Amino acid sequence: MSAPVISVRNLWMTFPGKRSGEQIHVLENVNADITPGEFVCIVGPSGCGKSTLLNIIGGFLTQTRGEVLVENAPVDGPDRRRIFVFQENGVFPWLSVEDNIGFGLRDLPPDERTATVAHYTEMVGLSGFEKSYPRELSGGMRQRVEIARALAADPDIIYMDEPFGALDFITRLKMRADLVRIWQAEKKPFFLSHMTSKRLFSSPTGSSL
Amino acid sequence: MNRATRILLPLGVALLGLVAWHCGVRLVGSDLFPTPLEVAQGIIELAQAGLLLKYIVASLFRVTWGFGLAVLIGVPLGLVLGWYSYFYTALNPILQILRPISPIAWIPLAILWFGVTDAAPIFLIFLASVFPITVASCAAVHNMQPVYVRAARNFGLGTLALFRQVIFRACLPQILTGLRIALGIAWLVVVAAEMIAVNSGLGYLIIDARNAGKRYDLVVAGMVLIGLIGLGLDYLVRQLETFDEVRWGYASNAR
Repeated sequence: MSAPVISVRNLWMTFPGKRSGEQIHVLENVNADITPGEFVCIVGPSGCGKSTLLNIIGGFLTQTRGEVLVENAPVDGPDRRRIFVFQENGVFPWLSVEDNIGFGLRDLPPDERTATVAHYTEMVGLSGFEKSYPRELSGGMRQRVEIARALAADPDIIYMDEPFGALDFITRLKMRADLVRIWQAEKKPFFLSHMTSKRLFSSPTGSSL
Repeated sequence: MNRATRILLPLGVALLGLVAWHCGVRLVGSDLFPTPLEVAQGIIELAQAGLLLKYIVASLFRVTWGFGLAVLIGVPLGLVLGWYSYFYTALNPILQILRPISPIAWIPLAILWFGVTDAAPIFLIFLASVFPITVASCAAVHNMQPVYVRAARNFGLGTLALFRQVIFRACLPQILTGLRIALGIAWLVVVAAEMIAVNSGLGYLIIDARNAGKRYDLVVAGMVLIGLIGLGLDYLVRQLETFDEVRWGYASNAR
């Protein structure tokens, strides 16, 4: 087994409660190792700390105690090599589909950028919608735009925070299958949180999706 | 609603209003208050004297400068105030003290500083519109969805790029609404400013027509022109709201 790409060590996250002196431990001593190319899901009911954990690993929150190492370095804020797909959909509504997908490619020469955008537009099944704006798309399509935007930036890891939370049942099934297909094609670590009522915490691989 | 209704309905109501106005004046038998026809003749008279276009251009010129400067300063200032809480805490009280002071109250100081030049009304228009623009831009940042900024940070945007490519763009729909309100106020104030400080423009027309021989047909003509141009300006700003870059920010049932 190769060295872990993400290491979570004795992680605690504590928020102040409503009454003074009260403390809410959202994360209590979480430990995990994730190896390259793994497809990891955090599952658990609403409010159990999945998003909190993912946001700490992604650099958007700072933990109370403990350590998170990504590629052997402590996490210090968000990083463009590790792209986050947000629960509330972070697609920019003022940019067209192609400009959204190309957002992380500012430094590429124009023709290379166009080719990359076209490649990932096709991968997520949005060919023909390049000039559309997010408000003209369905929720599932907007989620695909955000996933394509993340993939196009060629990150080392993709974090997804309940990427299908807002979608209807049928769309969710299709997106799951698509995501597994994309993961197999891209060979990148996917790390996502997903809501279910069955288990509180489950770390390893693709089958738990 | 189809296009014909959207045009004919308000036009018909306006026409009814004109008829009521005409009949009202005839019924009362006033010699001073003009009928719509006399007002129209007054406008034609102004046009023939070459004053109509001159006065409209003079007023629009002042609004363009005053409002333009207010946009150039108010939008960046509002965005910075909205984004940096220290700026906001430091400057917001001063802003809220200056904001309720009517531009009319600044007229003596404007004349003292700028004399009877175009700069005086431009300064007043600037004052009138810079506060609503700043407040709207600042509120837009406060109401912005934080996910856009997080996504932008994730893609490694620096502060300047963040402001230009994300914060400004995310706030643009609300900023435009603020501009629309501010332009209405600017147009309101140009007329008041011209009544005192200068010798051209639609505000000057109203005061001049009254002082020089009680020409109430020209007084009302000035009022009608101000209203019509105000309608045109509002229409122009509303056209900006239909662009794809901002349309997402407005509820679809409003249009």
